[in-house]
Amino acid sequence: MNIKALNPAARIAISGFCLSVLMGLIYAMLAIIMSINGGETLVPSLDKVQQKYAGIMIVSAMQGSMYEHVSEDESIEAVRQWVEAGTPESTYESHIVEIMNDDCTNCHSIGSTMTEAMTSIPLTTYQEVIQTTTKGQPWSKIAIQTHTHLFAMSLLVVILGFTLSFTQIFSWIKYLLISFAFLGLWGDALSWTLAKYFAFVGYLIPFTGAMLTGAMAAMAAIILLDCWVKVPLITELAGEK
Amino acid sequence: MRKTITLIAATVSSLILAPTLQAKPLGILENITTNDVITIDGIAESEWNAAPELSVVLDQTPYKPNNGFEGITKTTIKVRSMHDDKNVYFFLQWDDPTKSLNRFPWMKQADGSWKQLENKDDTGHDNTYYEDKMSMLWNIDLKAFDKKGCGAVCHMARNGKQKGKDDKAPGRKYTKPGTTVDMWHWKGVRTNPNAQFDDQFIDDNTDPEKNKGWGRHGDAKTGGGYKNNIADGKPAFGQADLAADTTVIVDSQKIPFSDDMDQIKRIPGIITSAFSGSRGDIVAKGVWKDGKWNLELSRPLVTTGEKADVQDVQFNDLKKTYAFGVSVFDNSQINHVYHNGVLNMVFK
Repeated sequence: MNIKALNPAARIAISGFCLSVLMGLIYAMLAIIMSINGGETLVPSLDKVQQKYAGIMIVSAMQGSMYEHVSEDESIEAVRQWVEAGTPESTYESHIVEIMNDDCTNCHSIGSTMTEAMTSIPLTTYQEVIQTTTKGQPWSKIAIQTHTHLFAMSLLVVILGFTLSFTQIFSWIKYLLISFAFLGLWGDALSWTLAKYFAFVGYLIPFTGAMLTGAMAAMAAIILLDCWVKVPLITELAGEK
Repeated sequence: MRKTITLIAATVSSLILAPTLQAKPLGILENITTNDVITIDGIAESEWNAAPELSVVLDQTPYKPNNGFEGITKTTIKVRSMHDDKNVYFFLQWDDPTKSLNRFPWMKQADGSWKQLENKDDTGHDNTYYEDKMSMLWNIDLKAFDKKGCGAVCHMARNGKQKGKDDKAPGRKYTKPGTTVDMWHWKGVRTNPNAQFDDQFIDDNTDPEKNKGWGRHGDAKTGGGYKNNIADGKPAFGQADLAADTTVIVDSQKIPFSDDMDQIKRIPGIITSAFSGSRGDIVAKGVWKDGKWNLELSRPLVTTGEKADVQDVQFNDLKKTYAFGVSVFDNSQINHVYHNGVLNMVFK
């Protein structure tokens, strides 16, 4: 059996699915980039990605999504040094509280009624601020993000992989793309957790992410083409195994 | 091993991906040269067609009044700018479906008494009987403003306290020690009839005993200004030609209020006259038409009044980038719609 043998309606449905996956991947990348870059659509540096997943939570936010609200880059470094020194309360009172008041607490306070108020993450007291000084993403976020990512993406990969298996491209390319997709998915999910403990793992996340999305995009594109035309260069010749 | 991977990753990062830790302005206004005469009347002459337009979405508000807020919470402001060898000009236009100029009016009651209408929220500010306003802040020497714009001077109160002091106001404006920000404040009732902005500035004062407006001050003035039209719980002044839609008593035309003003049902709550001195540096005229305010203004590129160097932005280097921010007040004393980040103006 191959995809081309399906009736046109089935091939239209498969093509629509593949196009949706490709579009979805583009918007997913955009969402990830903007979450790292504070709303900007520039390609983030590897350091920024690493900081998001492995860095000190408040420092990562000040460098990333909250960067536009930070008055001076020196403030980010001051907070980093304070956390690495063990978050002494005396330094909080003498230096950190002013940074929080200048750049954070307008929105990050329980009583804030500003448009972008973040009342769920108050930063008005020492106790509140040190809640955000752990490394990596919070467990509450990792737990939700990891399981939904695994469930949703594995389903998509299975559908794409299963459909790919009925295309006429070389078998070794099918094995490679399906394996890459799952390896990327597992690598992504595991890296989010491991980055909390091993900072260097944060640098791997862009590569595992690229592995997953690249493999998915390639599968979707190949299936889409194979529905209607012969995919150039990688299609098995008739009778070839 | 970890170090090796980190080193490889960092090297790849520096080679492939450019660092993005940098401040980017929300928008850039290109100010062009004009050799034409610009009439400040709130109507765009054809010369304005040549000026590039900067469109800015204003969708942030600082607080939610406890007695409700019917003003706009989102609008788009379009800004154009030109200059000649003496002045800088701006033409601003923003959507505001209601023309609001009914600021604390006196209304004659059925029993013949007079009542000044107001509807203040729990912070002591009115959003019902007020006026439309507009504000531009220009950085003078506050470093954070170049990145954050107006957010660099905005400090919201927490639990009724500002800098540890009891304070009912939702927020205050002040700067870092030794720095100032220029504040141009157009007021539909109090300054527009005089064809002016209220030229103000923000400094580092956080002592309400020294200045009840904290860091916010009017520029030095030699005369003029506005004041409440009140004496002994009644209007202090009327005006010979008062009409139902008169919004302000012009100081030069005021006549003492008397109880025999029976034919008048409504008396404006404010008396105004044009500022003289630095506070009146900005000539302006706002015209509301078809759901939009059109505001045209001019100011000398370089001002020379008392303390002009610390109270006014000086456009004395046309190669420099000037950081600014804009906001709009819809019939509101302090609630306003603004943008995050900073805008830049460059001279072309």
